[in-house]
Amino acid sequence: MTDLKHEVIEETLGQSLIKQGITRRTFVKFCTTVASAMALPPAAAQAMADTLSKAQRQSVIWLSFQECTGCTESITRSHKPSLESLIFDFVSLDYHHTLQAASGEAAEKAREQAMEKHHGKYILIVDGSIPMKDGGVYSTIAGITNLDMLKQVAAGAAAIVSVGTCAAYGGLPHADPNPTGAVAVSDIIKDKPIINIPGCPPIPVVITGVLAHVLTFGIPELDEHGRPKVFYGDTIHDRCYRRPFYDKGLFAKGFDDEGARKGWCLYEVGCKGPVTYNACATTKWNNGTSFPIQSGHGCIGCSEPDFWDKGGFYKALPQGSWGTAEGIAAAAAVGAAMGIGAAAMSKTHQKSGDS
Amino acid sequence: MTTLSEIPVKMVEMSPTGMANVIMSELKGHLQNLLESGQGHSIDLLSLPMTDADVNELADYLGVGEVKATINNIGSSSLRETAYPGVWWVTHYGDDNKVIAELIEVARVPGILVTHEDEIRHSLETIEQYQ
Repeated sequence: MTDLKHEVIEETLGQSLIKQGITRRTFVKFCTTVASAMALPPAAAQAMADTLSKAQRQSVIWLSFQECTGCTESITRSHKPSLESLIFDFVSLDYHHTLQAASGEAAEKAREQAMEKHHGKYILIVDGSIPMKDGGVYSTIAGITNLDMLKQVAAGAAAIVSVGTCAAYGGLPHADPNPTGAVAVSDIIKDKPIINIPGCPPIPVVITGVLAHVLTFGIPELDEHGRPKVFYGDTIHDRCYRRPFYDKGLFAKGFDDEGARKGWCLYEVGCKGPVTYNACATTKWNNGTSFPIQSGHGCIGCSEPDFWDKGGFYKALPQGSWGTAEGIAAAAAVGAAMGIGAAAMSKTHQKSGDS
Repeated sequence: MTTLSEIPVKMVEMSPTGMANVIMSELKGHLQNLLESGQGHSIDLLSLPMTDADVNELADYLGVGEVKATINNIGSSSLRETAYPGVWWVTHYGDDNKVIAELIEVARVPGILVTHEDEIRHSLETIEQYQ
């Protein structure tokens, strides 16, 4: 029998999809919904489909640190379309605690092999904050502190994506009194491009959309907090369907009064929409069903740094610490323009890029 | 003490906000552009602050044309030419039958309907096996 020599050629994503019975139209539909979520023109969806289909699968290592797994839960509920069958088919997910079949030493070996084989080219995704206190002992994987593992894996990464407010800004573990000394990825890694996708959790399509953008067009334009402007360029307030009530000065004063029943603005019951940048008001949650304000609860500002320590979810904006006291007090003195001042200030803040 | 179930809920119907008229105006420009340059355009309805009443009003304005197409993949997609030839209403559904994208596309034919070269090539390779 002839010993056949054969070369293992890594097939392109497009070839792989056809073999799996995922049609081009399904692929285009995925790109269309992701591109539309990113307010990109239709030509971009086509470019996304063309570029991705010709590429080889990108290696992705996902490290989960001091987190609640909510971000993974969010992305596995993605409905644009089903995540398991698409985004994780577009990449080679070489390490992920919840989704991988391997465990123990085999899992760590898979991670090390991916790091070696794709050194300098893999994308590192992180969810969860990194504890620093007492040598970082409060969160370890396979006996390695999160701090050490982050540094090791980041060294060979092409780019880092911090998924969720914990990885992006420290999140809940970072909240006062921060017993574990939790910090964000960007507090530790200073020499790699980092994209922050904050939210508690982030909206699923935002996660998949940013990943698709990175694979196709590279790193998207980021704001001063490292967030992609395509998803975090507007405040909740800018796109809120209850805005007409805010503009007319019609506010719910409690959660069971006439204003609440009529769906009036929730500013006075603590909504942080005017100072929170995220896509909730347009993209919404749970298959586009609703978002907190539509369900009758004010925005809690979960995609902003330190949102847990900003004075309370039910205190209206001028009472908290979301801007300079002087600026907000001055705006508050102008009756119905009270919220407009804070919102206008926030908008200027975003455009000028100063902190 | 009043329990949650005892609090009466009054549903308030929101009337159209005028967004449908804005979109109709925008369509004029895109149709003009399609004629002059052959370049199409899509308007993403989900990214606009439209109420259900606005969407219904837009559907009334645009009406229904003579072409309807369905794509069955992960979830389905429905494409319908409106009463204005060149203006298509495209709805994409996820695998749970919920709407995941809704666009008004100005084009000779919606792009997603056109069969891609890669797949034609795959068809050719597969059909050759029958010879």
